[in-house]
Amino acid sequence: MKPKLLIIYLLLVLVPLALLAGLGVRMAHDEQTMMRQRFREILTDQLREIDATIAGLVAARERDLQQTLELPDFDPSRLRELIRDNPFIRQLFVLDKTGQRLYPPAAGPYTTAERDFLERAGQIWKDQQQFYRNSEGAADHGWYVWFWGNGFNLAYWRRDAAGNIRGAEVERTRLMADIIAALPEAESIGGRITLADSAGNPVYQWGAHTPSPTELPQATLPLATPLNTWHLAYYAPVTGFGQSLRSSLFIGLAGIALALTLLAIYFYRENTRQLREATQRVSFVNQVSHELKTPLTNIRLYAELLEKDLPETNRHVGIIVAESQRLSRLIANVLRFARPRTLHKTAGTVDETVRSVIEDFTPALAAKDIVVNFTGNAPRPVEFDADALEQILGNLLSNVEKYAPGKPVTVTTVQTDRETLITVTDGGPGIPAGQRDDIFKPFYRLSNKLSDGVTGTGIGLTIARDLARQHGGDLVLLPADVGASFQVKLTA
Amino acid sequence: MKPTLPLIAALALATLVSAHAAPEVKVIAGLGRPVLPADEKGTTYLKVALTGFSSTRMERRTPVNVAIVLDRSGSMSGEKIRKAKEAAIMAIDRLNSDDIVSVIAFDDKVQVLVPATKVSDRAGIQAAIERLQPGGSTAIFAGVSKGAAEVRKFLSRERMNRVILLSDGLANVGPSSPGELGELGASLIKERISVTTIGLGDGFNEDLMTQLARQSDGNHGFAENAGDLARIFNAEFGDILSVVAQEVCVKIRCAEGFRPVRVLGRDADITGQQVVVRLNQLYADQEKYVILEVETPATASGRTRQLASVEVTYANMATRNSASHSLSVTASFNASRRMVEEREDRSIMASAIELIGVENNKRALALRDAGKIEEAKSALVGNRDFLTENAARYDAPKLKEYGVSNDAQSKQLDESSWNLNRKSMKKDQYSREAQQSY
Repeated sequence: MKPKLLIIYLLLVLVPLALLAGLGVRMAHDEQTMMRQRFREILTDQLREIDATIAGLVAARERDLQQTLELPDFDPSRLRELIRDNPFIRQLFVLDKTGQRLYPPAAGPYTTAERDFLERAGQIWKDQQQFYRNSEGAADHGWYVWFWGNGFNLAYWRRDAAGNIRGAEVERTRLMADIIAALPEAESIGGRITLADSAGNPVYQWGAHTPSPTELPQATLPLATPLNTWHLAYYAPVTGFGQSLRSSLFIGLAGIALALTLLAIYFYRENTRQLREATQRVSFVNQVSHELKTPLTNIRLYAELLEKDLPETNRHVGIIVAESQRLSRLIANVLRFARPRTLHKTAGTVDETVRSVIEDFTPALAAKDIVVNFTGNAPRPVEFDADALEQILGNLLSNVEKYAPGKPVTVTTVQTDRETLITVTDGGPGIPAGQRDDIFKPFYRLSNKLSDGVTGTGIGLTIARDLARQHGGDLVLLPADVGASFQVKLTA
Repeated sequence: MKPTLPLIAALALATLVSAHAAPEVKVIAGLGRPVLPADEKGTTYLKVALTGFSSTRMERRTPVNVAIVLDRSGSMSGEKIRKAKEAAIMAIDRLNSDDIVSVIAFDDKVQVLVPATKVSDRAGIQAAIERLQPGGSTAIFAGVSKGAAEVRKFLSRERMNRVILLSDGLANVGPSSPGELGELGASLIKERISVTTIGLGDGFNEDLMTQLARQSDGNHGFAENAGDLARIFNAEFGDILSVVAQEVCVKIRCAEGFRPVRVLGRDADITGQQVVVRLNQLYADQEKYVILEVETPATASGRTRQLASVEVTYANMATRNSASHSLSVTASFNASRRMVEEREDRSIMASAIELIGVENNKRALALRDAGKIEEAKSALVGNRDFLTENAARYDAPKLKEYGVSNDAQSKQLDESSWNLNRKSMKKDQYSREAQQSY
């Protein structure tokens, strides 16, 4: 196999594959990002549900507290009894509208619990302003959060008709315990949800997944007020994430690669088969042409002898000679095209060769009423392949014979120190401007009214130019007003 | 045989009468020093003792509603978890189909193995316990929270509601301080749920465990090794299956001039002249008491004054009624020192001295915690002397024994096995303060 072909076929497989792979990876990546995003959204939704559960619990507690705070009076022993029996309340407090504390009674005496409370909740008395205004203007109830000791403390307060602030410190551990009791159990999910307090420490967690200490949560959500310093975090194992997509991409690419390879092999085989067939055909034609050459040479030889011996039947024999010469040229062209040969340069004069070709052609041209005007100006002997020049001129004159009947043809030779120029100008229809370059391409034939019905192989000019170039020269079409004018250039 | 008939009838009548006489909690209130030195400020101890009646006098024992909360953290693996399972299964065996049980296991997460259910499917419950596998860290708070939630499903005044927590480790997930667990206990007792805490081995936090039990009026057990678990579970279930009274409230109102100073060994609400102590339950044949230190005013010799009125209310689990006892305590004043000493109530004084001994013992523990081993040691030796002296004075062998144990503790303060010794000291303090049966 030719290495060039191999590379082409490799590229045929690899380039689309690489493109597809790149595209696929890109798509997979996008898809993965999207899936991750979607995954996060789903997890966040789950966290929202949990937040709603907790918020519901807090709301229920708020309603309870609101009811509890419907105190008919602030009799200390009654309030103490109430605190002793209510598992959700740690302490109660009442401030009148001037900010004076009504309970725990300003004058004492205090229980131990009340003393602890006064110490713990000192901030409440300092912070009283916040009961009288908040972001929404004057509020008549709300949560109050402060940090003391073990952290988070929570109180609910409401303003009564008399303008007193009635507050209840929530039993925070009980609230936590109730939240925990309302949340799912250990293995209810595959991931891990953690409820963390203000300091980020887990209060409660559930789920089968155990996150590593450095693992970041896939989603987090702060709780609703008043627990907004707490948050929920969802840890989920990310291994295997988007892997199915990647593996399906890989399978897809492998499939495409296989298909492309098979296709390339098929084309390659088809191509080599056709190439082989073409080669076989060419070599068959060669063989045949070769076989034809020998008898034709004999025919020509004897026809020429006959022409000399029988002058009276000159015309018929001349036709035989001309036709057999044409056949020779044809075969020479075919052989030349199929198997280019090396030149054999010998010393000689170009004019002589030209003249001899013209002589050979004269009968055939005369049959088409074509008069040849030859002006030879290249008498200096030069090194050239006479056979090749004959073939070039033969092809040119043969075209004249075919396409420019009834008009004279002018053949001129000019010689300089370095080159010899032979110009063949006919009086025919000429070459259309758009096809001046195409006529030298192999198997190209002018397609117009004139050429219709004229047979030809379409390789004459190709061979002529190839030969001229092989000679270090060229064959060009000269611009001409009438007809076609070809110029052969031979160096030296 | 004729003469025997009236006898039988009389016997039957007697039985009938005794069966119909409603069993009551025995309530005694008295002063350690009923006679006080005249004309000077003095101190006396008021003891209110409550003794549960015998469980044989109950037609039907109080059904229980108990949540067993088991630590299954990694440290529990091996014999510990095996023995814990055995103990729990054995305990559940003692329950009947009127009782409600739930089983919760926790590591860093919580799992409700058996949701609160009547003990009818014993095999299913035991199978669930058997399946328990250890691993993970220790979320005590969450475990107790879920346990309490299971108890709450069937929360009833008619039942004995309790969470039994078994743990061998330090709480390290969720709220983990003794204070926080104590707060939770304080909230649970308002719903009449007590938490019994059982510490196993040398790795648990005895401060946390005793605090939780104390605030919720539960028991506290210390199992030095897994082999003790069966005994402790047995004792615990012995207690909870013999509850005769619940929602016990002792209210003491001191008369004008008598100042309530403090309640020894128990948490009490003291507001002005009023002292309130609550107990969640009384067990059959067990005495629980409240000792109040009272400062007495200077009073002329020969006078007798009312010192306090005592009101005890409780829910009688035999009659299913609430009951109340009202008592009045008086103090006399006499110039004669001899008289004061002669009239001392030895038993009440012994109880008070024991609790003061516990306070001394706690101080010694605090010194040891602060790293002051020598000071702790001399504090314990001092306490030994104090107890021994008073044992002789009040003819109380119990105090003498306590003196001996203080002496032993004074020799176990060094680093080797301090961990276990501290737990055993805490446990001892707790049992004495709460008059725990085991």
